[in-house]
Amino acid sequence: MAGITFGSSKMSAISKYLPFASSTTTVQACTYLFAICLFSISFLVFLNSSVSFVITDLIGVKIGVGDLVGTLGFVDELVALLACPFWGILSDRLGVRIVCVAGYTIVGLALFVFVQARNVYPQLLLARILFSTGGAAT
Amino acid sequence: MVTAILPSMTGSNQEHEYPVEQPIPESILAGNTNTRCSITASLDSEATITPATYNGRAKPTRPSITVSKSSKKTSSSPPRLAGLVGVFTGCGALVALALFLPLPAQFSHLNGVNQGQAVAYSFYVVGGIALLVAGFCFIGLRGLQGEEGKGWALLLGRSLTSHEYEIVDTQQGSRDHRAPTRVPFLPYWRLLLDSTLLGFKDAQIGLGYLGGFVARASSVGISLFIPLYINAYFIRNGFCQGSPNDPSPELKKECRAAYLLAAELTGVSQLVALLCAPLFGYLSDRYRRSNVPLLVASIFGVFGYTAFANLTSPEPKDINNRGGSPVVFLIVSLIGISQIGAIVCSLGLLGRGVLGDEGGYNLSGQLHDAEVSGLGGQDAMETSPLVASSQLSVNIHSRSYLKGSIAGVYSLSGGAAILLLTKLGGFLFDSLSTGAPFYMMAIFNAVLLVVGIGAGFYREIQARKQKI
Repeated sequence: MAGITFGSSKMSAISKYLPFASSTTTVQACTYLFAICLFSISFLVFLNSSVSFVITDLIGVKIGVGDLVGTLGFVDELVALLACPFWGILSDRLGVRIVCVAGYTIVGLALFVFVQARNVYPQLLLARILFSTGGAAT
Repeated sequence: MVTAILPSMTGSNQEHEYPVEQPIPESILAGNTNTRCSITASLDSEATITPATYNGRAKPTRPSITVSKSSKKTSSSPPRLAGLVGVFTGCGALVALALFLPLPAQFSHLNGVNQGQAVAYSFYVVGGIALLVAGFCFIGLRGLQGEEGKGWALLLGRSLTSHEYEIVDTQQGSRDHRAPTRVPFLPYWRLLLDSTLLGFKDAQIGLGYLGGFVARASSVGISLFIPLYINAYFIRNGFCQGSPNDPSPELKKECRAAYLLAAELTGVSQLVALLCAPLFGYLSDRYRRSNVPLLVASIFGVFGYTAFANLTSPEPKDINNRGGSPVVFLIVSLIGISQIGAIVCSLGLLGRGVLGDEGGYNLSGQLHDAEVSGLGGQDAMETSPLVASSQLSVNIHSRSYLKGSIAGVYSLSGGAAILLLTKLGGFLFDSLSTGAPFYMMAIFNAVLLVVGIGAGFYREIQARKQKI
């Protein structure tokens, strides 16, 4: 990411142009905008939009796809509703950095696991639950 | 976490401007992960609401979307950063649809790669990017303000219950600026109940909740059901039907078309949404009293979703007389506009609803309200907390004490919309028609339209009665 190349001598230069606090370093600000904000929902959007193709083209199920996709989305939201407060409390203890890193790591691993599934129930469902648990922290 | 980090980024050495829009704007486009997390954010904002805060923001609320443009001023403030965050998350959705979603099509160009492998490879690439992002967070977020001393030791070292409030307060990084005792202490179920009931008593807030419902459902309707619809369309027409292990180039070509079309249509709708965000921010600021922008967005939604459900073909070209036409781009644009309109306007409604300007919106009224509630609450609180809390709940003009809970109920209403749309929409997609989820969306938008018009008339009548 671009932020890494900025030296610490340029610290807080970013707060001159953008609404960041003067105590926020350029590296922190860039990480926040280009890593966290940019990618916070993109993995979920990607998974949502490609899940039907995983079912039809990878697993090979062509009938009843709507219900399968709907159920996976339903479970995703349900898990997220439960996981969100949990991550929130955890971030007050561990700090947002650890929670953030854990979230994206789980999301990354879940995407790898997702395409290993050979059936929808239970494998794809379990992978989706893993993804959603991680996604709630991003 | 986008919301949780925001206070650390803006720091504590500025004015405490903290409108209700703050936890939500990053949901601009398909903001599933984040909006549902603003329940946790409500814990944060609860600690920040004090009469001082309320007095500090006596100027008119501005939807944070528009605020992002004014980055020339250098002072850092949560709402302005929230606007910037909204733009970046919007771009994130666009990245997912325009760059990630066509990846299987790219991989299927390779020789010896079958369609199933092409999908798997693209997941590996995207998963790898997620791990990279995790790495950047690990390096880039070191030494955040207000995060010192947190870590694994804290997780195990202290009991969970006793330090809850202290921790939340440290995260704001300004313990000395605000006294937590000033916040009227109500049990959580009461806050939740109060803010839910407020949705039925106060038309503005109710409409805001309903707008949130439609907005979140829209994001799922676009990202989940449009690709599904396209996929089903191609399979129904006999394309891309071979087994996943069949590496024949014909099959791959057929499948590729579906990926690219899905990426095009969802990408266009989200691009239009992103471009229209500042416009709706401006309009909802301009037409404060009527909810015209929200109503226009819902009309767009009704037409857009109905038209999409009725398409004979989602393709932009008429190939082999299947009946596709470029109108489909117009339709998905309408859908995108209705989504962003619902998001921006519902946030604006909640912001104004919290400040309690039911009747008109003027600066002097605001100042007066702020003074009354601020001073009243403060004085009474110092003498007797019990009296103060009852006073505050009686005074409907200052809902600031419910700010966090209102944001929470807003998120819950969006979550409910997703649960309903995914489960019922998916079921009806198979059993009734592939257009069913889009008809559901059209109905949601129609309900929003009717309630919005009803609320508008009700307000007009009330206003006339008061004049007489």
